[in-house]
Amino acid sequence: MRVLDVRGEICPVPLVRCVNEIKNMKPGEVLKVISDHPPAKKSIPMEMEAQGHEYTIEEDGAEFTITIVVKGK
Amino acid sequence: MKENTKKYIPYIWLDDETGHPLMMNERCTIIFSETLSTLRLSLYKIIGEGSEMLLRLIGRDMGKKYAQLVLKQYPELNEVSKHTQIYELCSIILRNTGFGKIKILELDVTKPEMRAIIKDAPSGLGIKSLPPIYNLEAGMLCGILEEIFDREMVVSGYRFNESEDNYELTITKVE
Repeated sequence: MRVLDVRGEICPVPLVRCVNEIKNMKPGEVLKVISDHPPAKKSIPMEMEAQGHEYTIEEDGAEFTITIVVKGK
Repeated sequence: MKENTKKYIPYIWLDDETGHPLMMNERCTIIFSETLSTLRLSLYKIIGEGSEMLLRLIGRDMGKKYAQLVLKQYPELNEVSKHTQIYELCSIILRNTGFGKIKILELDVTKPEMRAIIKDAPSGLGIKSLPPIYNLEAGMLCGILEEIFDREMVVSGYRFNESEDNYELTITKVE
């Protein structure tokens, strides 16, 4: 499992780093993205859905974690 | 405001050589939000209703320029879906530059057409004597969409939701 900690970063950095990380991952691998920038809670899931990856969101106060399972080829 | 709710904007710098602030490596000018509403009011007093059209045209140029710079700085945004690209560019450009917050209500990328609401726009700050129409910000959204779709876009409908204090608008292509 990979962890991408983008706390403190504002858009578009969380989305861009997430998309770049997933490019280098294999199907079935898991990426946890930790962020505290509210717009990223919408943009990252929006793009993961468009790319066909599965994801869940867990919130913890101002922070949230998006867990992404990279889709099969 | 709590300290931990503030974040720095990573692409604004001050150039020691020229003394100019730079946004995404382009010279920029940082002004207070209230100055924009003062500008709007002054323009209206001098040239009347035409000032609103002028603001929309200025906004369109600003939106296009911002979109070009964001896409140049973050080329990965050309690889994401059209929906994500539009959400991200509109959201970043308005929010990170202090021109308000956007919520996209409907988006059809095939037409293309977008219905959205803008909140917290500086054009409306402290102005009670002018209609709550945010032409500068509406123009910016037109410019962003024009850059994305490479075609002329126009505000085809708008209304101010007084109870929710937001400005709803529809932007569509020019036929």
